[in-house]
Amino acid sequence: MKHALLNYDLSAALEGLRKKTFSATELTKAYLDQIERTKALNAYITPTPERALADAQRSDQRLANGTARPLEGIPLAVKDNFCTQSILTTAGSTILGNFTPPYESTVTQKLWDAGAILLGKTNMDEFGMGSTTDNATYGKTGNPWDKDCTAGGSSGGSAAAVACGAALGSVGSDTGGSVRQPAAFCGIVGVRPTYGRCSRWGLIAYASSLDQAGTLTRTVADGALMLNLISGHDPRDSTSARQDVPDFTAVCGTSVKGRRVGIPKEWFEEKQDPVILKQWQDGRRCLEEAGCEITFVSLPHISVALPVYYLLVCAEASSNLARYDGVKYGLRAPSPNLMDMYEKTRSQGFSNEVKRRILIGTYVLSQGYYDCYYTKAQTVRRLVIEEFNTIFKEVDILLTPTSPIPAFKWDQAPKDPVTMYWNDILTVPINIGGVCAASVPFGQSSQGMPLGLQIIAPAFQEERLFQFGHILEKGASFPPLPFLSQ
Amino acid sequence: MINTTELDAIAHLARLYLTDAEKQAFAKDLQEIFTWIDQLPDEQITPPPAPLCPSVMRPDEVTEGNIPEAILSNAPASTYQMFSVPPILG
Repeated sequence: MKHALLNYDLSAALEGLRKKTFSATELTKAYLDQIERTKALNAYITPTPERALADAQRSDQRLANGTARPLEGIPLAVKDNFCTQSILTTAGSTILGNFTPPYESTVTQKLWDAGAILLGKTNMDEFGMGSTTDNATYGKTGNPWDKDCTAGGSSGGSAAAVACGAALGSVGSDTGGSVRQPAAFCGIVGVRPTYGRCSRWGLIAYASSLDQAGTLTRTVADGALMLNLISGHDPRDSTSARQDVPDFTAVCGTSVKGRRVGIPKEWFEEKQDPVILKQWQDGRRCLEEAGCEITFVSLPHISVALPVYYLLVCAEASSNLARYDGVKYGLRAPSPNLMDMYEKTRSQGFSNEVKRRILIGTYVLSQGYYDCYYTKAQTVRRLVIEEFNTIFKEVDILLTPTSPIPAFKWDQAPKDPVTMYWNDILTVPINIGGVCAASVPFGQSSQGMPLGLQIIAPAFQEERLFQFGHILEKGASFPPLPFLSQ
Repeated sequence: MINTTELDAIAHLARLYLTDAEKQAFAKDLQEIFTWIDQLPDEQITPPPAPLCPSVMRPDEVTEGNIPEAILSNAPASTYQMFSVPPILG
């Protein structure tokens, strides 16, 4: 039997802690027990139970003496690509298998400053490169709805931890869908705010023009609460935006009557899985019943956003990952000379998918190919951005499925990279286009696996994600997460 | 199309050592990927693409310096508060 305290979602747990219905230590112990009970899913790379209990005691003191902070006593999980001071941070890679950061990422520091408790660091695709969390070094993360299926990725450990009750919420990162897709696969809410909304200081770089932190929670309101606390300009990240941070929780439950919702016809006209198509239509109907006006819109370049993404992401990754050379931190392969050491270290420390992307990136940035690949991709990226800007003069949000497929069994994973990359088609245009998006649980596959609907909003209009997300959440009739009925 | 000789050159630029079997496998993967990528349309825009974010300037001042122990704490090898490496010519 699971612990009864796991029934509380984040917002309800905060209330319970403040009313002293239970203590932060009791709540944290319930989550640490659940981490043990769900160990077979392999959501965590490094659990941190001792730190969690010590932090919980401090939270209890604050709750007792009236100095509780906004997330006081809330146990959370963190994707293993956020640097956490003095705690192993691997980014899912062998090359960082012994890396203990001497500093803390801004996003996690904001959580600890708000009183949250770290339960541990979660599994992921190496450096965020993948969408299955099938990690060559740290193992596969199973889906809490069916352990033989993928949890999605690359924030699969963070999504699985929330969906199996082994964390009240978690932070992930989303370069091309890595928060939204695992959230959809695991039946939880995943929010990918606008690039610049959250600081990237201490988030291990994969593709710097696309990486952004995001939240994974059981409910839309919980996501709003967490995003409130991790957003904001950071002088340490020159790409973080000087934008006011509204209270994202304030819009949950407000009316969307008369608002305009766009359906990208280029995607709608593509051959979609009938189950996904029905889910999409049900989502449209839900918003129509809430008083929204639904229209089909055209984004002509959206279908080529995927190859643009893979060109840019590989180019940026090849540059960012040049730092792993065996000199300053991480793995070093024994070798008689420097060049040999570089090559052996990187060959032993990176998995095949990372090597593949480094090779693609090096190729497209090399002399003679730069213009025909990298410049071309930047050109089409600009067109995608302009199309989003134009379309958001006509509609308030766009509605799409989060993924063209539900979570699949491990043995049904695509074997060739192009087919695997194709599964990101609905999420990557958001990162390319500089807008924001969220995935909300809505519908199930014929095998009972969860599906997600994606809400896309203009840059720095995350309030719309929560406002419309709340409506979809209420209209979804989505079943409880499996652990809640155990 | 990328052949194994071209892949050798790229791998060297990327400082990756690849076995013959890896070279063949990656050459095949990259061929498939670039066949797919080549569907990208030729588009012209004015002005040409530029960085999406303007450069942000800050004063050239040390803010968190003088922490050599912390910086070297993860170094595979260090001597006299410096990173140490194998011989460059060896």
